[in-house]
Amino acid sequence: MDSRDAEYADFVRSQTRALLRSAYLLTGDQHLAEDLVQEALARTHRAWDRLEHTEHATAYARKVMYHAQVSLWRRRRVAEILPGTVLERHAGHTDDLAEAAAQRVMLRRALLALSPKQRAVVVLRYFEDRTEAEAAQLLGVSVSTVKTQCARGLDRLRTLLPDLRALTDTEARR
Amino acid sequence: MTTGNDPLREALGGLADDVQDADLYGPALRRSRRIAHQRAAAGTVSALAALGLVCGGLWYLAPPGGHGGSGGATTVAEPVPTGAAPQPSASASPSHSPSASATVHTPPHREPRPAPSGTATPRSRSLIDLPGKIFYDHQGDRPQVVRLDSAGDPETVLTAPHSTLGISSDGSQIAYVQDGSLLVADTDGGKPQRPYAGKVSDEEAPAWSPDGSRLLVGADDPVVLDVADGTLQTLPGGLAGKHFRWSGDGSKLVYATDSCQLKVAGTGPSASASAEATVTVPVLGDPDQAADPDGLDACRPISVDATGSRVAVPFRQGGAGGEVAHAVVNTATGCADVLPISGTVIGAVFDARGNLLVRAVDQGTIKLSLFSSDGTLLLQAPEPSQLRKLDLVAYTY
Repeated sequence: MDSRDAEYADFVRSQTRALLRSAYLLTGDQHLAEDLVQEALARTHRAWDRLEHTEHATAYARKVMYHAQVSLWRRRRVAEILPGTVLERHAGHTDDLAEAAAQRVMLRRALLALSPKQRAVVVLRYFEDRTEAEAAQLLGVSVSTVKTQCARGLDRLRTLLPDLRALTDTEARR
Repeated sequence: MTTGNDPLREALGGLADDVQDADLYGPALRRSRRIAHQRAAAGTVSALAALGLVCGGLWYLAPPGGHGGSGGATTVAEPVPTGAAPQPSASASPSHSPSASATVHTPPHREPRPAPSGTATPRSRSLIDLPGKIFYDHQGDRPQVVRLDSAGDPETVLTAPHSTLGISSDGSQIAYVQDGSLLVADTDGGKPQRPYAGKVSDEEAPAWSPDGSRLLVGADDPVVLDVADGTLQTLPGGLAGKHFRWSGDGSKLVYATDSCQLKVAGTGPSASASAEATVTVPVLGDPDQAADPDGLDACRPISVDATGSRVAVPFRQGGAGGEVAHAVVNTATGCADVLPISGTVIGAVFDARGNLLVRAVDQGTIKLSLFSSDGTLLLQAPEPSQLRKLDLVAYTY
């Protein structure tokens, strides 16, 4: 393994976990998340000689991943969700762990009900803590598009997850 | 901006914790090699055809070992002719093509046909004979729009910051979007005018009508603006889409959907129910993977020929990663034209009369090739080197 390959291997090892976390929120599925990250890492490998610094490679991989997530939506490369307007709380859970698990299931399903752009913006803004300008740059859209998609995404989350209304109301006022 | 204690952030973080670690080094390298193989194969084909031939979503390159299914190997499958517009004619010897050995398999149900291979001989090899004007765009710290004509010296016609722009069919006017405002200026100078007070999309280039009197702009809904009096019209039938482009005769609009399909709509009185009367260009962006197995997206048509039968459009292959190829696509079949030039196409634009300007890199040199509407190669000449880093945006008569 030459130095170039070694650098790339280090990059993959250091970035895979973080990319997978975002990809899981974007796809709602372990295998689809791995596919998405694999694609991003592969494209980054193709561009490796042009990426002078690791931070450039990180940004590049993330950009590829988000673009791929948006463009692949039409091929239904997201986990299937059942139709429904409001995701009802699972009945019968009494302990905290079960409650937390149920909330995660509902959040996952609600995220998958968003449009790909809305989901990407919500993940960038509220999971990766990106600014609107950073999200716009990464997605290749305008800041106004980020604002619009974010507002619509939060509205949709409020509709789907009444329990999250309070917190997304808080977010919307930011 | 963030506190780190917000419930939504915590909820998202908790959900992300559910993902399991995976070793993706090996799979990523294997995928990278497949991408490299696809690019190499595409490059081989493009040496012959200049544009990847994409027809019916049913072509594919022979896998290692030469097995390609029952269709059998041939050179290149020819796009289905429609008769709507002549294909560029080739006149040189096909046997000289370095990619004569490239194998592209035709689908089983289609007969292999010889490709219009080889390269055409241009009538002129000098920009002195360029009949029209070419416009380039550069964005960044020093934005500029540059015009190139037969004089051969690139001339800057706009230095104002802009997100998108459109050049009128005769090259005399430029419309550009600056911070959501639409501005129009003469390309020969003068103070820009603001014909529309509202906000317009800064992602969609304004599209001039062929006669230069109207602009189709992206707003909340796409609207047609009369440049002289500022009146607005909605599109017939409430067409919904992005990146609308007029055909040269004004009879058709070609546009993209959110899912990166191309559609063609009529503009005349008979096209009153246009939303229903639109025709979808096959293959590109088709959600059915059987129809579009390579995941070809066409999200942003650039320009349309005189009649709406062909559209210049960049498309992405494989969906992800933004691998862009520039193509001229037959709107009836979804097939990409095979152009008789060598190199890799990095840009293609029609003028309103149906002439086609193609920008291609061949052995490190950028060449401009101008085809007439009947397919004759009128001119082929090296592009001035100072334009190398600029983007081709328009060719006007």
